Amino acid sequence: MMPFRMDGVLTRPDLVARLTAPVAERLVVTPLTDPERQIGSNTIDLKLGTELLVPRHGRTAYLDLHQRTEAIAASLEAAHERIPLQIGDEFILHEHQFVMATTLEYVGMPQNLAGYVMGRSSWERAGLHVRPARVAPGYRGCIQLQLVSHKDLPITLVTGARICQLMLFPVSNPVSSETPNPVRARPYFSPILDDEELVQLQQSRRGFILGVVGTLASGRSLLAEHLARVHGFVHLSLSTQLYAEARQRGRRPTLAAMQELGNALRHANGSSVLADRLRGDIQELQRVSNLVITGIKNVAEVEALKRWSNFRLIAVDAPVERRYGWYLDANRLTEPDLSPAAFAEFDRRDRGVGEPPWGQQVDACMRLADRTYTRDGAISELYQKLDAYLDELRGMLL
Amino acid sequence: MAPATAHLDVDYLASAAIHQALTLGDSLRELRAREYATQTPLILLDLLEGIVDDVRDQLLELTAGRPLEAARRMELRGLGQALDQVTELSEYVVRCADADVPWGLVYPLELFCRQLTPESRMIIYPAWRHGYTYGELMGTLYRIMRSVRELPEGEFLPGYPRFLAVFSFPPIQGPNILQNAAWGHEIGHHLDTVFNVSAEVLKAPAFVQRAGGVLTAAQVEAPRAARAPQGQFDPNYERVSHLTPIVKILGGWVAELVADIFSVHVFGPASLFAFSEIPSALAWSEPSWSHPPSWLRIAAMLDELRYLGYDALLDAAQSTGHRAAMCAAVGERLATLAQVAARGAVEPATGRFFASITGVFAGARGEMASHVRGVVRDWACRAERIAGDVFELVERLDNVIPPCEVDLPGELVGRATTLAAIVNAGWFYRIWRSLDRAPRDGTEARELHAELARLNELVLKAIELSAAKRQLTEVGGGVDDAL
Repeated sequence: MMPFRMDGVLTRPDLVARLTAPVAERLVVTPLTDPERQIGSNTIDLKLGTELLVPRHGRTAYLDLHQRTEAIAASLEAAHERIPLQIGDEFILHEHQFVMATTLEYVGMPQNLAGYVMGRSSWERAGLHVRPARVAPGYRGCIQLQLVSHKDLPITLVTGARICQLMLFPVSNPVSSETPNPVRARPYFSPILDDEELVQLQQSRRGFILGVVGTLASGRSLLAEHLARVHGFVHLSLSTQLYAEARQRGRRPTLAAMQELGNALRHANGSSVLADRLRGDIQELQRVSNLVITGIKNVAEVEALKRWSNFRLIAVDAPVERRYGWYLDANRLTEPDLSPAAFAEFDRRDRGVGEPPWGQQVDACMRLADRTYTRDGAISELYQKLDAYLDELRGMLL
Repeated sequence: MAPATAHLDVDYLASAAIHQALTLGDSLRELRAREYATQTPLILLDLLEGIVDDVRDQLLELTAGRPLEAARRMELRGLGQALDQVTELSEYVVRCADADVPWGLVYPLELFCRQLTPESRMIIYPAWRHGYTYGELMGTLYRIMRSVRELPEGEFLPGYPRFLAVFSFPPIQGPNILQNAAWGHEIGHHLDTVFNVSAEVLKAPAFVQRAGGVLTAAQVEAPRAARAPQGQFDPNYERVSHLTPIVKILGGWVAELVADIFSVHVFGPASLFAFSEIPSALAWSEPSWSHPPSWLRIAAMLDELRYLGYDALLDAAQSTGHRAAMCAAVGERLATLAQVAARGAVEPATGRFFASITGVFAGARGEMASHVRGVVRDWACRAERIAGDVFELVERLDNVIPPCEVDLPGELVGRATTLAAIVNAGWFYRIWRSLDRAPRDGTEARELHAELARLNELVLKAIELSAAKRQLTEVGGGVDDAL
């Protein structure tokens, strides 16, 4: 989002005009139960809402950024108790206690306004501190509040009490978001996991992730084996889940079966599902090793893997006649009768011919590669090229 | 030696029962010490503790002249059963304390229960096993008390609420407020408990005449059908097998249809849409011992919608723009459901037995509806009553604003609206925007799921904000016109 600049503070006549504008461009504060009292000379008083998120002590660290993302999310959940209240209910905020809450009012910000929510001075003097927070243009929801008792005395809070105020500013260069803003109707946990740089920070002390995509039997697995054997990479494959699924369904892992299973899983769970499911393993294993990932078939999988800043994709290809021969050599036991025509058909499908959006798209994936190799001779030539590329990467990433 | 053994046996049992009563008393006091914020669990605790104290005293009295006579074994057994029932009911105390139920879910139920009987109390809790259920605890507590102390028959407990309604809902449906419009049905059961609507229907001369004529022949079929309806085991059979099958079925079906009609009467089309989207409704297409076939229920609900004037409201030709599109979409959904009802009416029901019973209800829907309307006429969710609000509220939803009040041009404060208008606005928006269409693939399913979650959150918030606004601005919390 582009930065915006705040101009003068909106005063009461401006606030009233904004609050009564047509719905599409209105500043929404709903319900306004007592406008005379709530709309001040340049602020709108807001009330304490009916749900609190209260931290509680547990047996594990509340926030450990070394953990997997899922584990951090679970810790956040476990470390808080949700307390639903009714209007007029009391809650005792003990000395120096911190709780999260929302305003009672639902606020809809137009794209050309931004604001700050802060405590009312009367409550601040009484010991309740509402940490000032920015309210972005386009925000939709009850405003998230962080409350702290800053005196050595407990305070009894009452839901529905006017504890904070919203100050608004016009935005001089408004931008409209194409994606709908999430609705924040309840207090929500720290969105710290949305910070992309958190993942990058975790990666900055890690190795790198190399994806290998390529046409059927072009030598992808051999490259992965080489990286594992010679350079100590850990090999992960998106196909592992397909093999497990095939076993579970009692099916032989033939080319046809694997293509069908892959498509079915992507169709049912989203095209990036196989890459998404590797996320936890990647997060954990890259702390101790470089990784090589094979089995990539769909562009959504490449896009999911590219979210890791230290991910690089290499592609490998070879003429189809040669690949047919290599395939037979490697799969003589499982598919000895595969004809050249049948192989060519599997190959076309693998490359994306006639495939649905969730199907095989190897050609499209290869176009996204950082480096493409054509294998026209012995595999050892490819190994040499790969080793040279690794040297380059080490210079760039480490 | 035999009599001595018997005495010893009874003595041991009495001792164990006393121990159980003392332990249970301690546990209940421990529960009380948890400082429950709401009053209902405390009322329940009072009653349960009272029963346990009575049982304990009687047990001590019983064993005062040891050895205990074997003849008093039955008395001992009755007291032991009372303790078991108290143990079972204690769970509700914990349930209502632990349930993290948002106020937007609690409010509609509480509102209706309080309006039906101001002295009512209510417990609502998520139940993994049972899904949507309704029960009434004061009757149960009264029966247990009568088993251990002298109480006049037919009177309720002085100083305590007349009714304690217990509602459960599937926890995974907690945030799904639109689906929870199905709660209207459960509130309908509470209405039935309070006003005996089913009993009135069952003894109405027209119903008796119709039922009597049709069912005489079917009576012969009943026992056989009870054992194996359609060659399958009916899980509800266990529950009703000890009662005269036909009478029980009639009573059960009337109760369900009364609850269905009530839910539409007060919530409008939202209740029908919610019912039609409960996945297990598919399994109810066949009649069972406790529930009529789903087509019959849909037909009864559609009858009530017609009575409330929704045919005219949804006539797309009378509207323009978005409103016309919305009317067309919602009208089409109702037409689809009408087809389901019509198909069910012409297709033969499973077996002669159920066919006969279904036949009774074909002509009785109007009578049942009259009884329901007679009790809750003031809350009718008439089309013309909510029409002005629903379309305005949908516009709010379209702008990602909770539909908690109706905007008034140029005014800072909106006009309060009803619970039914809010929930129906949610359903109208959902249908108009095709948010419940079948997704093409997993990706679209997730997108739709996210949109539905957002819609539910807005509607849930709207219910809460609407209630808050009434409470903060109207005398007495404004509950009288919230319905």
